[in-house]
Amino acid sequence: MPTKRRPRLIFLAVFLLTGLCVLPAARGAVPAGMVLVAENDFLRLFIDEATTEIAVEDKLSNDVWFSNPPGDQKAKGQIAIKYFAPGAVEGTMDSFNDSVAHEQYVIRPLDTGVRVEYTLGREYGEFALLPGLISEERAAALLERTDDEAAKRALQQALDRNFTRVTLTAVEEGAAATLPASLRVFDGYTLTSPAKRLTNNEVQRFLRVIQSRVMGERIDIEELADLTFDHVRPLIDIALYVLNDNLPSFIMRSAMQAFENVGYTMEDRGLDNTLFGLDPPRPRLERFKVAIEYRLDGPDLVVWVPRDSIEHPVDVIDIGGKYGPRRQKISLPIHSIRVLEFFGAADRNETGYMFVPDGSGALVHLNSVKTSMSQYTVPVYGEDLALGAPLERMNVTRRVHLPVFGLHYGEQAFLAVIEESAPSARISVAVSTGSGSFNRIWSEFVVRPQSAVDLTGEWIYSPVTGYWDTLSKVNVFQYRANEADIRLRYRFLHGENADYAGMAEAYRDYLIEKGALKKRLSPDDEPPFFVELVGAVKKLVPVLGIPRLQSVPLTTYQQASAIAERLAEAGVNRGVLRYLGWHNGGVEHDYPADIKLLGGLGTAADFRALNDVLSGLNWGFYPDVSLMYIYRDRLMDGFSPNRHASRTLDRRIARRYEYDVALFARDPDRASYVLSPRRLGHLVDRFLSSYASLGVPGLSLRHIGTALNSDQREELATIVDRTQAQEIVERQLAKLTQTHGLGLMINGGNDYALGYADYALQIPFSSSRADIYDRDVPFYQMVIHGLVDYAGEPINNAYDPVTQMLKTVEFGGNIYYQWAYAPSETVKETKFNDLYSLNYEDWLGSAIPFYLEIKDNLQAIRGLRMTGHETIAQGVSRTEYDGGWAVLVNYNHEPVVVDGIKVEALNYSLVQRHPSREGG
Amino acid sequence: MPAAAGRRPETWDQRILFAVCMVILAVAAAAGSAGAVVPYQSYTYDMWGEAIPAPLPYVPARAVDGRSLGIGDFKAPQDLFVDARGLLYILDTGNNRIVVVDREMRLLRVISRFDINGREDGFKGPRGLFVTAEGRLYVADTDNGRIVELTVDGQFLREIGAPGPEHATTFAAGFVYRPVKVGVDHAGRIFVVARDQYDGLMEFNVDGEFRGFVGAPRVTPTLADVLWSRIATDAQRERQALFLPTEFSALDVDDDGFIFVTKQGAANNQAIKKLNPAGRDVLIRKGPSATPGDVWNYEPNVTVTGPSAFADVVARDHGIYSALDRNRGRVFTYDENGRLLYVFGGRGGQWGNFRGPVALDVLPGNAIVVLDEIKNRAIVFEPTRYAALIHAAIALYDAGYYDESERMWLGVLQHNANYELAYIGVGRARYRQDDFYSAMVNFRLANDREGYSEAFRMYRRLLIEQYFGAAMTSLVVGLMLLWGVRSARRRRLGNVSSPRVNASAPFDLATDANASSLWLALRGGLKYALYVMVHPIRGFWDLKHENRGNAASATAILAAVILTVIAVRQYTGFIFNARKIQDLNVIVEALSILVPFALWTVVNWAITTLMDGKGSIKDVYIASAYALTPIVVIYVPLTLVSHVLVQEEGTLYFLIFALGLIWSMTLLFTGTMMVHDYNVSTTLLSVVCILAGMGFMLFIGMLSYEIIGSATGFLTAIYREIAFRL
Repeated sequence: MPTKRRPRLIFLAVFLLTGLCVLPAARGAVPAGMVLVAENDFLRLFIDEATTEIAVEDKLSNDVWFSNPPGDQKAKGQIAIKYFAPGAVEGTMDSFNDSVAHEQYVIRPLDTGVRVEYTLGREYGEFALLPGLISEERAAALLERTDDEAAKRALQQALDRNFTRVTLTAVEEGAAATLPASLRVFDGYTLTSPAKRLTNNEVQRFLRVIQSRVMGERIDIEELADLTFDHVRPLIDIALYVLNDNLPSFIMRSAMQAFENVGYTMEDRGLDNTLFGLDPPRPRLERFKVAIEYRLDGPDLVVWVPRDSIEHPVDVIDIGGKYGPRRQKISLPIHSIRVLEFFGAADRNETGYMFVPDGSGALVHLNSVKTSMSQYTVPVYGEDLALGAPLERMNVTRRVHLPVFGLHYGEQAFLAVIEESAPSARISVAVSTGSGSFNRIWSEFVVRPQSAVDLTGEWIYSPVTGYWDTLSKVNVFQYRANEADIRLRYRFLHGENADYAGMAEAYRDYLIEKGALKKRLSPDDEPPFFVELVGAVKKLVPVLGIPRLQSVPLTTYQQASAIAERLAEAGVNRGVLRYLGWHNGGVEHDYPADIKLLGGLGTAADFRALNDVLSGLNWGFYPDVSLMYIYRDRLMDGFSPNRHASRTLDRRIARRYEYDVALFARDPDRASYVLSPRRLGHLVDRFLSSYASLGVPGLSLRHIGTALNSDQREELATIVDRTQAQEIVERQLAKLTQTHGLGLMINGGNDYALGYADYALQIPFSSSRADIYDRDVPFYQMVIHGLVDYAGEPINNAYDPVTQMLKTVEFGGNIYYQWAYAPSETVKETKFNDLYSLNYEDWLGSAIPFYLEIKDNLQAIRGLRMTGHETIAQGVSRTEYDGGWAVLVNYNHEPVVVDGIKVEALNYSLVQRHPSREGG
Repeated sequence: MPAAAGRRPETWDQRILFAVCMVILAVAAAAGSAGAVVPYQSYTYDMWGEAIPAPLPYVPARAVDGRSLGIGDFKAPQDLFVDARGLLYILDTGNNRIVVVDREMRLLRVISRFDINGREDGFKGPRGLFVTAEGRLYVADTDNGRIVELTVDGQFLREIGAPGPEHATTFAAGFVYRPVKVGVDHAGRIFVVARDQYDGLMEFNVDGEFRGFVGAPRVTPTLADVLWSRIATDAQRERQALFLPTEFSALDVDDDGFIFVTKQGAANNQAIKKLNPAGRDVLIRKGPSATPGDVWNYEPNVTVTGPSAFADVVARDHGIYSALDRNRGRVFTYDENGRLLYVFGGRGGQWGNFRGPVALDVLPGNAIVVLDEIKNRAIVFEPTRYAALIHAAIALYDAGYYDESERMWLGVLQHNANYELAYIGVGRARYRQDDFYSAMVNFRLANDREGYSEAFRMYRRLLIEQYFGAAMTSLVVGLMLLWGVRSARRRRLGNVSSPRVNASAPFDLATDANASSLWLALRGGLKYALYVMVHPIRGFWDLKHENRGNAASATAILAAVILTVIAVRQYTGFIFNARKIQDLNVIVEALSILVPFALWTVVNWAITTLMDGKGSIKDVYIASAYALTPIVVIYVPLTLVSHVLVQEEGTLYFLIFALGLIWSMTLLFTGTMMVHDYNVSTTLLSVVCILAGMGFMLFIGMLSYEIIGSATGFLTAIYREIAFRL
């Protein structure tokens, strides 16, 4: 059947051709058209001066990385912006279509690189060069300008076909005026044409065209009533060419081209306008400036978008009334900037993956088309609650703790680290969905957070969008733009290192070089046993019919000592106790400026005794405090929600919510205030002065490792953008550790907090497993294993404790339980009923043997770098460490034999290979 | 061995069952997605309809999709079925094929074409399938308008088309037969859910002949409907006829021949039915909510709204059934009494949640497989230890292994201290072991009043048996002692008569010069109130005409009534107190007495003034308050007594409760009559007027409340807008 085969042959031919075109370019040394702009020992940087695309060559491996796939017509541009205009209008521009295509860019060489300054948005509208009215005299002069016969002919043709020749003349005496009221300014005048006799309709039509051109090109006319005879007087008795109305745009374009070819310029256009008393053509409103710098820094390419190079139209006058009333002063703020979307973008023929730092890390295989998802975006450090807490939470997800991403194909890979503006970044990944579409991963930076404010407060369900929404929404923006520059660092990997393990190593090295991470654990110590005890929770109890919140003790100070002693007796020599809800009302405590021990838990002497017992046992003691969220506001406690809580963009007090497990809605009974970062330092100081008297050497911070919120107050002086919030948090961490010498324990662990922490708990052991991901990887663990002791979720809170224990071994974590002394049902019918399996007696029996076993078996890999991880069979994983060590974990219910080693059912085993194949 | 051991049935079947339970427990926990994030949370509902967090019962373990089987992506698959051998049949609707995979999720075969007497044929948009224990595969070949019966290997056996022309009158004109779901019972009867068919399941006999409808949702017209149909015009009636009974969405046949069906669209209490062979619904609905699925009683601001909408149901062992909610992508599992066991699943773009869940079934090992028509894959969920414990506990209890069942329930509680069914399980076991006090504690944690009452009855009996002798002895001894002391005292004081006030003449007020007049008024008034209680006619007459009552004592009585009502709410024994103590709010309780009382007094005075009533507002106030005395006198002891009564004695409790109310109402009536000097008929008329007046006042109050609310909202909006724009 030859008819059927032909399309296939064509397809094959096209396929081969594109393959031949693309492949050599991607692999070759330097593509044509590029010039070398910088070079150091490791890298060479090239730029294509016509397109501003860049390429980086790794001199060691000869790998070449392109900012845009060479030869592709669509994957263009290095920068894309999103801006907002009044009336919730949203627009986008990119550096190719809105700048390079109009040659509105400047390339400036730098010492170690190159800077490209883009002006986005052409200066004049698309047909600005095409005059709507031109006198015959001027037209004749234009025709004389050139000797090029073809150009002359083209212009004459355009004038003949697309213009109409008319003259505005006074009506002869006695002829009746038949103009409608809307054209009354022409009373006493009519149009004549030298070519033909105009019908009354045609007269009116061209009068209308003239009138609208006059009105459209004079600032002083806002509406018909403003138009007077004086405005049209310069046109009278002059032979005119009037541009026909309703021309299709391709004709307009060719007509404009004809004018351009005879050397018609914007000055000419201005002159033509002034001849008739009209204003010169107005520049467009949408004009933005952004510069991007590429610098070579040792083996890295640093990509920099300086904050001060970003400009947007401020208080420009919207003369034409494009966004509402005419001559309104408007601003067009830039919402976000997308940087190097196509850097290293891989086409459909490549194999490899993209690395997303979601949770512990996830890989997206190139070209692995998913039926239900082809693009996915994750915010770095989670959502900013000062931009409004989400109305609902439907799913359990993980956060991005590390601002990095990467791509690997063939023999090469890159790792990109977001060095500055990470708190306002989002990382997106997309897989190719067909030809002309690329696998790519990139970051986008919010310059000015935006949110839509509803002013009526009335919610209406929209069947169109399927959302509850308000009718009158107004866009509001952060009062000023974020102050930090945008800076990305690309590090290039090749060969054996070109995988996610190599990326993790590169990032770990980077953090150590920067001093952000240093070794804080000694490999000879026994592994820690993390015990988290819950002191007290609150319960609503009616007293004489009046509901009152009362503290319900779950673990008193003495009981905490007893549990620690019992564990120590059983052989836990190195326990770390985290104590939740031990002061000021329990887990959801009051503003912690002034610490009050809980009477229900014991006396101050009891608390000191607990501290002494723990230090006697050589255990770590980390009482927990929530400094970023304030659960309850009491009078005279030093916290006033009005003054000290963050504000959202719509000027409300920012809150954090727990969510209904069944219906996903916010639970107003479990809301807490978001403390403004401005107030954080003050609170930390007051807390410390009170805490110091307790003499406890450690402190556990509930949210500081994961939460990061700005303060969107409208005054310039008080606003704190998210990057500044991060700096404030870091300062507090430095104060706690360096000035006050406290040991810190954090939850989760964003990169900036990790360096200050002795211990990081509740770090992710998986990604969010979005449908686009193909595989989870322990990237996070690879970065910190051997430097910081960590643990995942409490083992007794996991859906399956045995699996969670194995997971802990697989991910190189430590034993971690959350316990209470009281029977578990104590929390039933309180709002803490999610702590439903806390009784320590229930878990002691399995926890202690497991810990002792791990302590004996896995001591060797403590302090080593995690170098690899793979699933080697169904339910069997292997985690590799430096020195040829590997841990095999078997999740199956029957023993398995891998590489000649037997691993028992639901068990693990540590093996060491000959150290021939180290690392990698 | 506890007492229960003797009753344990010892058949081979049950021994095997016991062993199976143990094995299930041992291999619980999914190996496939060990420790990874599960995108949904779990919960149960408590008796007040509140979602209580719970551990995850099931976690996603692996997926089955066309690509990984090597046969190309599925295309909008609509149904799946697990047969008796554990093979999984996926009906790949868009590709008109049936994909069969084995227990390890390896491809066995694809059935897409079959041979009808030498003619090749295939499916067209098939939407339902069913495999019998005998290995017959029934396919609802929707767009071909037929049921196709095949062997499990795909050999054609027969086709069953639309009901013959003799049934034409049964169906609406223009009805096109489009079978979407099919099920077959042990007797070989074939049940079909057809599209646009609202009369229930279509039943075909073994020979494929149409026999009629089963399980038709009966329309019970409300009173309003009946009235409306009387006055409606024909055109209106015709329009009303369009509100048809709802369509079924899916069915399943359990091992005992019962048919489970789910209703399409938003769930109500008829959303899931269990039909017996006669077609009657025999499902037990003892859970806190009669409507299965999510409890939806308020409108939160979220994207997914409304009650659950069930797409499929599967019958499981021990009367347990699971149903798939399409609205929020959840699987709800209920026990044979309709109590929610657990919930899992969700919607979204992550591994383990759904975009278009359409069907579910149970795999061997209690795993649940759910088909997603948008993600084009089936996801296998495996039970966690927690869910395995629940199932084992139920199975063991059913088999008579009560003590082992209790052990399982205790294991469940280790994972979830909120789980009320487990407390019931433990409570029942403790009851069996004659440990009634412990049973009471567990039933109380379970909020199970029935069980608590049972245990309490036994416990009370024990106490009485134990202490009756001692109590009686001490009572007798005490009385004798008292008598002895008194007579001794009397002898010492001589024959002075006691100066006690005669109760029948309470208005002989002691004239103690040292007591303040308010105290005297109070004491006298309260005593008089007691007198009025038993002598209403004379009492109220004198109250007004002899000025026997006073406002101070009336106010005191009112306060006592409020305190009594609060005490009743808070301190009534557990068995008779179904309210959530934590939600008790003293202000609301007080207002619930004060507002009606104030309304009554004011409206009473206003109306009777127009009707020649003799009483002033003060008289009305005093009389009305005095009339409430029985509430205090009866309810305070009743509240105490409620602690020693059990549920069977509830009749007595409620009788006394009602008595107090009726007594007060009678007094109120009498009081009105006497105070205003009315006869009975005038009083009746005035009471009716007063009640109407109170209703009117309430209406006005609510109206002004609404208006004030709207005005406040409006002003807030204006303030916000001004604040924002400036």
